[in-house]
Amino acid sequence: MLFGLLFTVSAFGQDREISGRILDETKTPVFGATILLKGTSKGTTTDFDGKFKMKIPDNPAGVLLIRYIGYNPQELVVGTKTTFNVSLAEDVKTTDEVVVTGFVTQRQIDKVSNVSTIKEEDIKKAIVPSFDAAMQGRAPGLQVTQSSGIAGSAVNVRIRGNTSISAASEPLYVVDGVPIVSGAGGDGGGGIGGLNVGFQNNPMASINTNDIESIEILKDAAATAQYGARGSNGVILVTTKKGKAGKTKFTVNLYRGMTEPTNRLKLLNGSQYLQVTDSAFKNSFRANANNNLRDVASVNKDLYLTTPQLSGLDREIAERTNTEWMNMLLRTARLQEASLNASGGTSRTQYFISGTYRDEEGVMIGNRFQRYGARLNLTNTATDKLQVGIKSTLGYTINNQVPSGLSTGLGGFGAANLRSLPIAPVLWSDARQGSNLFPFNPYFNAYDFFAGSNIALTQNNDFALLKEEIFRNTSNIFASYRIMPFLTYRLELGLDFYNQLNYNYSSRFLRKSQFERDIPMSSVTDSRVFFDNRIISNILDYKKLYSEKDELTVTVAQQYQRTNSYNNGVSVEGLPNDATRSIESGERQIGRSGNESYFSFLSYMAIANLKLKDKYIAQASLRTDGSSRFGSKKRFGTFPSLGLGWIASEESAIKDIKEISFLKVKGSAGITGNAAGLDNFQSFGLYQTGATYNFQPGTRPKQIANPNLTWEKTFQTDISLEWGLLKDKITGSFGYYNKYTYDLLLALPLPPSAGLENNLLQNIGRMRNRGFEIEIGTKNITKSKFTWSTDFNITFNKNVLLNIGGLEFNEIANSLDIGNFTGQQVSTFYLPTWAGVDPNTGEELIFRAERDGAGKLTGKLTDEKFRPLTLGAIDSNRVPLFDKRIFPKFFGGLNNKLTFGNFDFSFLFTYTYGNYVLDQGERRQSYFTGANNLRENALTAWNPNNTGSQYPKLYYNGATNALNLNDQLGDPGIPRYIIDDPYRFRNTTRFLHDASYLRLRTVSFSYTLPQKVAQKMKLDNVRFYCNAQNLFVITKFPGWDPEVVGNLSSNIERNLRQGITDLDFPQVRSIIVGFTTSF
Amino acid sequence: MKNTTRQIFGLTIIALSAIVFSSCRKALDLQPPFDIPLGEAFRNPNDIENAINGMYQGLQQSQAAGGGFRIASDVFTDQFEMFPISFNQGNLGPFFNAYIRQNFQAGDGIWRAAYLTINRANNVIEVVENDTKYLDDVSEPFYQNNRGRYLGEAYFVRAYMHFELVRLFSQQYGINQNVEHSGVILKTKPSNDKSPQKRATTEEVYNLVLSDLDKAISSLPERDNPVVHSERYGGIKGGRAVKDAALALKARVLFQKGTPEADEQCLEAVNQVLGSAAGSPQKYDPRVDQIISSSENLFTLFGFEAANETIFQINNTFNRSTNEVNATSAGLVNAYTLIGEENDLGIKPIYILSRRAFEAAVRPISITSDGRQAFINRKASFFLNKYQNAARGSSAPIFNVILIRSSELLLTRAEIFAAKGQRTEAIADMWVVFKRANPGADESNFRNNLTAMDDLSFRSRVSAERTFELVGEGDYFHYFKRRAFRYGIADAKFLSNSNYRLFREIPWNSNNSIFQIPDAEITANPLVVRNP
Repeated sequence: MLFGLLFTVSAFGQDREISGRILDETKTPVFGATILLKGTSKGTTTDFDGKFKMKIPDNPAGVLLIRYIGYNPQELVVGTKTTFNVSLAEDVKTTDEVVVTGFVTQRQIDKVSNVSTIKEEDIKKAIVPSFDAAMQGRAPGLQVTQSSGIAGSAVNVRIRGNTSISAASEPLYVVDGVPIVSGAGGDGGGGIGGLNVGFQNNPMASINTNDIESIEILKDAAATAQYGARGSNGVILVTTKKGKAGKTKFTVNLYRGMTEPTNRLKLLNGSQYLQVTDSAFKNSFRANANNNLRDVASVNKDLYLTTPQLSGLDREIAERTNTEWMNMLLRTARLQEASLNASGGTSRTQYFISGTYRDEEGVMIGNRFQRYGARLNLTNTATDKLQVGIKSTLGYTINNQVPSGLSTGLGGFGAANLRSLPIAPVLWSDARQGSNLFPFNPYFNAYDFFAGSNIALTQNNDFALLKEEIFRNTSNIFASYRIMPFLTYRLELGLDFYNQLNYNYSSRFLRKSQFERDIPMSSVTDSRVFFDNRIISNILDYKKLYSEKDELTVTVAQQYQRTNSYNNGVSVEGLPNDATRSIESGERQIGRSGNESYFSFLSYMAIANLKLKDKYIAQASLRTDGSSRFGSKKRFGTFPSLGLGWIASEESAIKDIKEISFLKVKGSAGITGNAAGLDNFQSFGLYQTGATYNFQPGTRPKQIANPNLTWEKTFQTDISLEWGLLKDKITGSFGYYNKYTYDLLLALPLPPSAGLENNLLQNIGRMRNRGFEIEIGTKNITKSKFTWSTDFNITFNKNVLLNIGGLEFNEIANSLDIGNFTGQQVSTFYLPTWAGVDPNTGEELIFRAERDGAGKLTGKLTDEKFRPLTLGAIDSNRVPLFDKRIFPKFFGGLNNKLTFGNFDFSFLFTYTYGNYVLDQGERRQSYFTGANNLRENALTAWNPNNTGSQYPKLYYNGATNALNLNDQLGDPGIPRYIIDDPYRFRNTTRFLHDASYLRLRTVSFSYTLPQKVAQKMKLDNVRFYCNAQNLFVITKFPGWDPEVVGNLSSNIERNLRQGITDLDFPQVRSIIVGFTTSF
Repeated sequence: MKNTTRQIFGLTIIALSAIVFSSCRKALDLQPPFDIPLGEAFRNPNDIENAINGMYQGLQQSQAAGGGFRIASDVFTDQFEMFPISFNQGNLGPFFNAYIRQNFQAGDGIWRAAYLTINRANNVIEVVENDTKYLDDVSEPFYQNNRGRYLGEAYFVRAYMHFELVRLFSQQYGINQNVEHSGVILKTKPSNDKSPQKRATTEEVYNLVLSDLDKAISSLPERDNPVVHSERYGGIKGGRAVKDAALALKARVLFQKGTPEADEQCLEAVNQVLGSAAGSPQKYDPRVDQIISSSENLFTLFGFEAANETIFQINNTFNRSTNEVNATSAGLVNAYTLIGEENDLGIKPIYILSRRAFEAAVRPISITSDGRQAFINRKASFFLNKYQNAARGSSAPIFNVILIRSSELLLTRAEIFAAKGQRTEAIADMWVVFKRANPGADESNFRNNLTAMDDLSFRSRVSAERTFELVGEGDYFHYFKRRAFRYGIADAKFLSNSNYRLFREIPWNSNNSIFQIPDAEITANPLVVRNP
C-alpha cells in the first residue's frame, strides 16, 4: 500500500519548475520541510541540503506554504520567481515545540500521545550526578525517588506507578535512539554487579548531563506502544545536543560548590550511653526491690558485669570516653564541574563536541566520584540525498566508594551508626600506625568488636579501597537516504558498551583469613562487568502534506537488539605486605566468579499519523516483538495502539471565544509489554554446574521449563484535555489514565519437596494503576523587565493488585512486614500494631489480632493489648494496614521562575503526600544489645519514676527478666526459662511513620551580564549563577530522611520494599556557584 | 531514467530489509551459555559422573550431612548449654525451648536440603535405568563398568536422605508407623512439574529406605574395587559409597527401627561389614589408626585421606591447585561455633558439648581420664574440638566429614548384645573402642569391672560409651528416642554444681520430639498434613 502511494506521487501536469533552498536562522539547511502550493495537493519536501524542486501551474497568484515543525510557517507568493531562498525562524510558542515521541517527531500541539518534556535548562539546575535524578518534580506521572547522598548511587523511577512485582518496574531508557544498559541484567533497574557495599550503583551516572538537550517521558500507550514489549513501564528518551551551522561557538561552564548531609541522627553520647546501659542492666537482672541480681545472672556474672560488654574495654575507659563518631566520618565535601563544548559547522557538516569533568566528594570521608566525559555529535550531508552522522559519547567514571550499609564483614556507614559506641575510643592515630592496632591493642580491636562498624578504618584508603571504574561508550551511527521527496530510509546502528571494574582491597586490620580464621590477612577482589549492547534499526519514513491542513506520515521500522553481558571476578587473600595489592601477589585464591549471558529482541513496527483539517489527529501503531527471554511458544507478541486528538480551538465556535487560546482533547488506548529485569533463560528447563565434589565438577537440576513464559502486558487507556487560556497565560492539562496489567509474572513457589532450587515463574497475576495527572502553568507577570511564571504538577495514582494467581498474601512478599492482598495496593504493610507502653510495667504492648471461629485471622484488631513473649506471638498478631500506604496518594512539583532584568531566580519544590515509611533502623536503635547505640530519645525510656513514658523499658541485650512465665502459646506444661525480648527482632507500627514531605529541591539564582558588557569582553553571553539543592524539607517523619532508596538489588525488593528504610544514607544538601559563557 | 534509478534503489532497500527482517528470527534462539538445557544434560557417561558429584554435593551441604543433620540431633538433646543473656529466638531457639512446633529455620533447611539431594539422586536413577533413552552410546566400557555403581550410589544417597527425614520429622518407629501421613514424602521420580505429593506412612518410608539400600548393596562395588580409587578420583579414599557403606547404613536404619527382628537383621548387617567375631573388626579396625590417644589431634581422622575406620565420609572440595577453599564442612564448624551477628537469629555464643555438660551427662560412670575428653574440651573460642583441624589451626574447617565409621557399628552391636544378655560379646566390641581412647588401659580390669555390674548399670555403661564416642556426630536425639529415654535441656545454671539435672524433660514420644513439616511445604503442597 505504502509503495502504491510512493510511486504515484509525481504524476501531475506541470507548467513551471521552481526550486529553492530552505535554511534556518543559523544557515543550517532544513531537511524535510514541506513546500505546498496552497489550495492544491502539489508539494514536495526539502532534501538534506535544504533544497527543493517542484513543478507548479504557472500562476503568479499562487501561494507557497513552507512548513517545518518547530519553525514558524511561511507563505510566499509565487509571482514570477523560480528560485526561492527561505530562512525559517524558530517558533517559540510552547504548543509548537517539537516533541520526539519515539519514532515520531511532532509539534506539541499535534501530539495525541501523553509525553512530558524536560528541558535542558531545568536539568541543569539540579546539582546531581545523573540525569535521572534531575527529573524529579518536573513532570506529572513521573515519580522519582532521589538517590541517597552517596555519590553515584541509584535513584528509583516510576512512571504511573508500579506495574510489576517480579519483573522490573523501571522505565526503558533510550539515549539518542539506543535502549541503553540501565540495570543489573542490562535493563530494568538496580545496580550493576561489583561488591554490594550498602547501596546500588547507578549505571546512568556515566552519562554526562551537560550534553542533554531534552528528556521526553513517554507515558501513555500511543507513545509507549512504539516500544512494544518494553513499553509498559514508560519510556524515557534522552536527546543530546546537535551542532548548528556557522562559526564555531564555544560554551564554557564552570562551577564549584559544597555538599553536606541534610540531617544527622541524634544518638546517645558517652555518658548517656552508660546511663542507659546501667538502667537496662538493672531492668534485666534485678530480681527485687533490693536490686539483687537474679541467681541466673549471678552464675555468670563475670560475663554480664563487664559493662559495657566489650572485651578489653573496661568501665573506667568507657567513662572517660565520648567519641563523636559522626564527626569522624562525615564532612562538608567539595564539588566541582567544568565543561566545555564547541558547536558549529558548515551547511554540509555540523558538529557538537563536548568535554566535561566532574569531581564530587561524598559527605562520607573517603567517598569521591569523578566523571570524565566526551561527546561528538556529527552530521554530514554527503549528497542532497544522503546524510550520515554519529552521536557518540564516552564516559569514564571513577568512584571511590565507602561502604554505607549494615554489613558487618566490611563495615558500612549504617553499621557505624548502629554499632560505633560513643564509649569506644577511635584511636585513629594508632590505627594509622597499624602495628598498635593489630594484634589487639589494649583498648580497641578493630576487627573483632566492631566487626565492620569502624568505618573510620574503611574510609581510609590505606586500609580499605573500594574503587569502581566505569567506562562507557554509547553511540548512534546513522545514514539517511532520501529515496524520493516524501520517502526517506534511515539505517541506525546503536552501540552501548559498558565496562565496569570493581577493585576492592581490605587490609589485614579489617579482616581475617577466610580459611584460617584466627589469622589477619589482607585481601583483594577484582571483578569486572561488561555489557555489549547493539541495536540495528531499518526505518522508512513517509511524510506527505496533502493539503494545507491534511497531513499523513507513516513510519515502518524493523529493529534487532542484542545485548551480551560478561562478568568475572577473582579474590585472593594473604598479600605479603600492604604495599602489594595485586591479584597475583595473593597467597591463595578465596573466590572466583564468571558468567556470561545474552538476550535479544526482534521487532517490526508501523506507525501512521494522520492530521485532517489541522484539527483532527489520529495516530495508530502496530508493533510485533519477539524476545529470546520468553518461552519458545510465546516468543512473539503484538502491541497495537490508537490515539485520537481533536484541537477544539481550531473549531470556529471556540476560536471566537477570546479567552480560550488553545483547547485540545485527546485519548489513546493500546497494549504494551514488560520484559525488563528478568533472567535471560527463565523459560528453559536447566541443569546447572557448580556442584563440585571430590575435586570433580558436578551438575544439579536448577529449574523446570516453562515454554509458555511470556511478557507482562498492560492495556492502557488515557484521556486528557490540554488548554491555553488568556493568550496562553494559563496553560495546562488534565489527564486520566488506566493501566491494566495482566499476565503479571509471579514466581510460583514449588513445594520444597520438589527438590528444585528455583521457583517457577508464571504469568498469573493482574494489577491496575489508575490516576489523574494535572499540570498547570501560569505566566503571572510578563513585563519586559520582570516576569514570573509558575508551573505546578500533581499526580494521583492508585494501584490495585487485582489477582495474585491464588498465591497467599505473603508468598511473594519477600518480607514479613509486607503482604500483597487482592483488591489492595500492591505491597501493603503487614505489621503488628503497637499499643504503647504499659504504665505499670514499662513493657510495650501490641494489640491482639482478631480471629474468627476457625481461628483464622480476620485482618482486624481486637481491643486487647498484650505483651508477646515469642516471635511467633508477634507474628501471629499482624494485620494488614491498608490505610498506611507505601506509595503516596499524590506527589508532584511546584516550580517558580522569576526574572528581573538580567537576574533570574527559580525554585522547585517537590512533594509527596500520604505515604508511610517503616524505619527499621529506628528499631535497631531502640533496643539495647550492648553493641549498638540508641537514638537520643532512649533517655526518656520508662522507669519507675517516669511511668508515663511512651518509650518502653529497656532491657539488657533482650533479657526480659520474665523468668518462669506461664507459657503464652497455649502449650502449658513447658515452663519458659528466660524470655528474650522478641520485639527487638520485629518491626511494629511503633516504627511506621508518615513520610509525606515538602522539599525545596532546587533553587537557582543567576545574573546575566548585559550584552554590551559581554561583547566588550568579546563574549557572547556571560552568566553567573548559584544553585542549591535540598535546602530544607518539611516532614513529620522523625527518622533520617523521608525519601529513601534502600539497598535493594532484586526486582521484587525494589517493587515491594520501597517503604522500608534501614539506616540508608540520607540526602545531601549542595550549594554551588558557577559561571557560563560562550564565545 | 531518474524514476528508474529511484525505483531500483527503492527496491534494493526493500529487498535488503526483507533479508534482514527474515534472517533475524533465528537470532532469538539463544542458548544459555552457563547452564545446561535439560535435553543436553545427559548425553554421555561423563554427564552421569557429573550428576553423581552434584548428588554428593547435595549430601554434603551444611543443612544436610555437612552439618544440619547432626546439629539438629545434638542440640535437641542435652548436649549444650546456653546463656540466657545470649538467647536468641529463631534458628536454634526452638531447640532450646523444646518448642519445635512452629516453623523454624533449621527444620526448613534440613527438609529442603534433603529433598534437593533426593531429586538429584532420582535424576541419576532415571537416566541410568533408562540409559538407552538418554545416552548416545551405552556400550562405552567405562560406562558399563560403572553403571551398577552409579545406580548403587544414587539408591544409597536417596535412602540416606529419606532416613534422616523420617527420623527427624516422624515419630520413632513403633508409634503410629502405619497411620496415614505419619512418615515423610517419598520421592522416587525426578521432579518435572509442580505436582504435589502426600506423606507416606513411617512404615512405607522404612520399607523404601531398606529396599533402596538392598539395591545399593547389590550394585555397589566392594571397598577395594579398583574402580573406586581409580586415578580419575585423585586417589581419594572414601567420599563415595561402597557396598560396606550401604550395609553399615542399613545397620543404622535397622538399629533405629529397634524391633527385635530389626535388631537381628542389624547384627547380620554389622557382621557383614566387620566380620562376625566380636571384638575383632577386620577391614575397619579403628585401632589401626591409633590416633585418638593423642588428644588434641583426634580428628586428624578428618584429614585428606580416610582413616581406616571410615566406612563412608563426605570429602571436602579443597582445590589444591588454586588453594581455593570450598569447604562445606566450614558450615559444620560454623554451626558449632556460631558467633552470631546482630541480625542472624542464632544462639550466641553457644557452648555445645562443653566439658561440664558432658561430664554431667556421664557422671554415673566414673572415668577419670579418657582421650575423648578432648573432643569436648571447650576452648576460648567455643569449639567442639572434634571438628577442629589440628593441622590448620583451631578455626580452620576440616576437610572431610565422616558419616559412618566402624566404632558406631561396634557400639551398635554391643548395644544389641547387651540387650540380649550377651555381655561377653558386648564387652569385646566396647573394648575395641575404649582401648583406642585409653591406650594404657588394662583389658582384664575393664572386663572385670563391667562384668561385675548389674544389668541396668551395664546397659548405662554401654550407652555412655556410645555417648562419649559419638559426641557431635548427630546420634543422640535418635538414640534417645530408640531407647525411649527422656531427654532435656542442660541448664547453664546447674552445670557448675554437682546437682546436675535436666532442666526440662521431654518424653521421647512427645509431639515436641518431632520436627514440624516446614510452612513452605504446607503452603505450596495442599496434600501434606502437619504433624500433631
